Amino acid sequence: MHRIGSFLDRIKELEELLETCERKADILTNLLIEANAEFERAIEKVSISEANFRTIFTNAPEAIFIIDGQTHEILDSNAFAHKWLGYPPDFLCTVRLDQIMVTAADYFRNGAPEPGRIQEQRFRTYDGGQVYAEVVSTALKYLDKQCLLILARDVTERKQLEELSRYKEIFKSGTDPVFINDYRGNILEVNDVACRTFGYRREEFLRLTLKDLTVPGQIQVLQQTRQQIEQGLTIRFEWETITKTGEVIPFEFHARPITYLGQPAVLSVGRDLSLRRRLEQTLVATARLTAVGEMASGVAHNFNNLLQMILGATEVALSKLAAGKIRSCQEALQQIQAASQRGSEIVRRIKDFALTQDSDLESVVVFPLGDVLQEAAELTTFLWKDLADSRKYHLQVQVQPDCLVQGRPSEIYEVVINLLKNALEAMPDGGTVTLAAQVVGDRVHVDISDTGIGIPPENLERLFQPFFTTKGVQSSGLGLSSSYGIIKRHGGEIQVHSTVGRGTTFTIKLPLAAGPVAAKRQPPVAAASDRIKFLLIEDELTIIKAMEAYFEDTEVDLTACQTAAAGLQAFAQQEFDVILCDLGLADLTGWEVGEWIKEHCQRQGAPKPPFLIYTGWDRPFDAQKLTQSGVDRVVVKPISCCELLNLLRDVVRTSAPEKSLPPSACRSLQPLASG
Amino acid sequence: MFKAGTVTLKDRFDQRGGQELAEALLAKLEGQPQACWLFCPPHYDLPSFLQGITDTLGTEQLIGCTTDGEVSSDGLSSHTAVLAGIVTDQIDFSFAWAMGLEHQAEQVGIQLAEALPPETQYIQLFSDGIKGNGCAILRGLMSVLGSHILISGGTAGDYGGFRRTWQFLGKRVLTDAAVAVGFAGNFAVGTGVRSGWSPIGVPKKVTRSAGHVLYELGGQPALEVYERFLGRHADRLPAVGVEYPLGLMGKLDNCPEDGYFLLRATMSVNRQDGSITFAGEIPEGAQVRLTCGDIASVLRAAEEAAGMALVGLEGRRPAMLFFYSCMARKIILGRRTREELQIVRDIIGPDIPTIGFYTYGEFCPLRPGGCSYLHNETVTVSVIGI
Repeated sequence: MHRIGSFLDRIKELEELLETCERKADILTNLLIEANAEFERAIEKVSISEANFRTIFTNAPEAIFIIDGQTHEILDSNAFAHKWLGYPPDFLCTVRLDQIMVTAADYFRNGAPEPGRIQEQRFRTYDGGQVYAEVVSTALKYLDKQCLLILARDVTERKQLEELSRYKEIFKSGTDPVFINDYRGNILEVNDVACRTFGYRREEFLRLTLKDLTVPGQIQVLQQTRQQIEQGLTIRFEWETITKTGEVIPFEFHARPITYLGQPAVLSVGRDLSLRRRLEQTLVATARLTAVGEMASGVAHNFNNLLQMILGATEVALSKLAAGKIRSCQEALQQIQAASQRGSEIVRRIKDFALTQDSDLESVVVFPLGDVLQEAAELTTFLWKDLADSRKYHLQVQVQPDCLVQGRPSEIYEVVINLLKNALEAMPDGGTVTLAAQVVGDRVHVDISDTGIGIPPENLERLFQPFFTTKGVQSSGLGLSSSYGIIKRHGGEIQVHSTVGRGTTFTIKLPLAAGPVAAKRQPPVAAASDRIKFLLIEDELTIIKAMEAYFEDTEVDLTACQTAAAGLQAFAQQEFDVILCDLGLADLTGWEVGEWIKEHCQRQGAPKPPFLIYTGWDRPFDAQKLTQSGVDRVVVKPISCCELLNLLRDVVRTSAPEKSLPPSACRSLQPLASG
Repeated sequence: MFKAGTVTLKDRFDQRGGQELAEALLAKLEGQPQACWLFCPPHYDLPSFLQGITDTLGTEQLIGCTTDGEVSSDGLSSHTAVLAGIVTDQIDFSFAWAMGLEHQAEQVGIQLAEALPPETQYIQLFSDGIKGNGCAILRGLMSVLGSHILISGGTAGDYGGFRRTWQFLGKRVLTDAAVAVGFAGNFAVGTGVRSGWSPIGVPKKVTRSAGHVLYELGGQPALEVYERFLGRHADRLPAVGVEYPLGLMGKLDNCPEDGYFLLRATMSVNRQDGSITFAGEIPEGAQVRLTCGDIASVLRAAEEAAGMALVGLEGRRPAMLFFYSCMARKIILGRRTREELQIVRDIIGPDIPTIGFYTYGEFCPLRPGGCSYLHNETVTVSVIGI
């Protein structure tokens, strides 16, 4: 029984166990079905999620990269990334992230970047530029690999504004143009003033380079400044620029190296020099005019002396003539002639100095430097000769022969005058000024020394700077700087040595010139074999009388008329070989007379004789005007009768029927330009 | 000095029976115990029974509750009364009780804690297994005594009747109550808890719940989801839910032990609103999975729990074993239920005095120094070491 009971218990136990197992099997099956359904729902969700991801990935307004977590190779990137950086889509899948992310080393410094942390990084674009982005990453599984999903939001514009705001105060300048450019000269940013000044819109400006704004020939300025700025220097330089309309504007720029958008760049602020240059030119002109004024008083002074000599000599001549002492009379007349000659030279020099403002009009010639020194010494004697203690002043001129230089005599003259004046001013109590010129090797050295107060060493350095002066408001401070510029243009240099209390020596060194010296005087022309029929139309009776008296003993048959009408009537009635007509007649001008004669000859079909204009104005005449008026030469007063005779002979000899010489403005003492 | 012993009585739950039980214990201990534990089935004459015990022992330092099976040094017994006592000069015991679990479980916990001295190192807690929120009681206790106060014990049973359970303190026979004994002194406690159930099926999210009541899983009525899981066996709910409890996934608050999950056994279902009531809280938002176990895994769990408790003794000699195991394990183990206790006793020491019962829920920390939790379907082992 017990065994049966136990057996029954066992059966019951097994039945319970079976029931339990069945139950478990059923439940596990149900769970499996549930799990399968869940799995399918999950798959569907994953598919939807994947599709959503793809949509976001493709259309996101930010760059998205999926990179291998170990190698950082780019496995996928979205359309925005391609467009933003400019790379072809296929290209990005062949590179690592560090090949397009400039700051990748920093980003991956500690291995994988901290998920979710936003960091600012830089990317390299396809065209070599750089852009800024806020980057955030997160880990994800992609293609069975541990990867990183990287989102990059472009913040370049914001960075630009941030960087610009650093220079906001400079850019806000209402008066000065401001540039930011890279070291290749590409303009990266400009302010409104720059746009207005140069006439470009900002978008246009940002497509330009500095070279586009540079006047031809100034490129080396940019190259030099670039080298200095690359060394980290802040520099100041002058730069001639050209606007959109072709206007040239000189600028003084201050430039310094900066960092702009993470790249080395240059920040430049410009100051328009036009006004300053005009001011300088005006001051120079003013200084010259002031000097001219001083010269004029010197000239007046000398003229008074000369006139005194002439008056005195004239009285002597008259008295000796009356006494029958012809030789004494002749000597007196020669004195008068010499004084008159000197007077005309003085006038010519002052005209050279005052009127040649534009040195381009004066020709570059080879000339003896000694002549300039002598004349300058002569002209400045008035500065001390009339002083109460003039005996304390001595002027020595020591000039070696053959000191030939090439240049513009009037400019050298101006320099010497300036230095002489300074020398004399440095000797308030008297002293000696020495002018010396000598040839040293291939140079001509000119020393202008004084025994004056000397120049302190601290002033020596600044002596040639514009506006530097120790003489207070009475001096423009431009004399020495102007002289410096003149000597430089002549290929020379100017130096100064000075000892305080003992004196100063300025040394000018100019290149020694070779070649023919510009002839100052025409060699005498031999007398013509035939008579020269000379018509003079001049309203100044004294001049007519002087000429009549002189030509009386020559081959010249002078016919003088005091009015244009009389002169034209004479011309119409008889033939002349040469006509000299005063420019400023009472009834007609010399131009009108010339024009009448030219047209008359054309109508008559007759050859036009050489027509010369006689004038005291020593300035260039318009060639067209000369031609139109039939003027063959211009004769500048004063001209001695002897020189006039040579001129008439030369004109008659060289002129031929129907052959008109090219009209030229010439000085009475200078060679003709041609023919 | 530490002496412990247990005695067993069958079938006589009256005053005389209580006297006999107490006399047997006194004889064993050879002295008056400082603390006693009584576990027995529900009976109408329990007040007389307790009177007989306490009068004979000469002390009301007695704690206990009704069960779903009793455990003593004599092994697993059913429908018996087991009485244990400790005589020691190394441990001071303090006792507390509070009522009103159904409506204010956390307050009950607070009252218990406030009644125990602050130097209390270890608490054994027995609460009504049908009424009240065991998790709330723990929160109440920990809010006063700190989150790392070591608490073990179990919720009272009624042999599967699920009608009423009783809790004992001294002469008092209480219901809807919690009773606690606090240990303070020179001793060690090693605890271990394991279930043997493993998760199966797909995780579901608790989308609506309130305390012990689960309303929705993944937005669907909980009952509907369970019926899908259980199929034709769903009509056996809640019983079948004990075999296949719900496992709460993920890390537990304040507990670093990964992989462990609290199990929740079904207590009842509401076919009107599709809700299921469990024997512990189901937090809203938790991820849950259905779990299942078998005899081998359940027994293996007992072995692991015993091993954990031994480690927790940190070298001290085991002096007394408290065994609180879930009645659901009896359903799985069936005839082999005895093996569970045997496995534990073999590991802790076959001669170590043993007392305990099969519970409707267990209290135990997951690791030494960690928080205590209300468990379902687990075997808990608490060992006093001297």
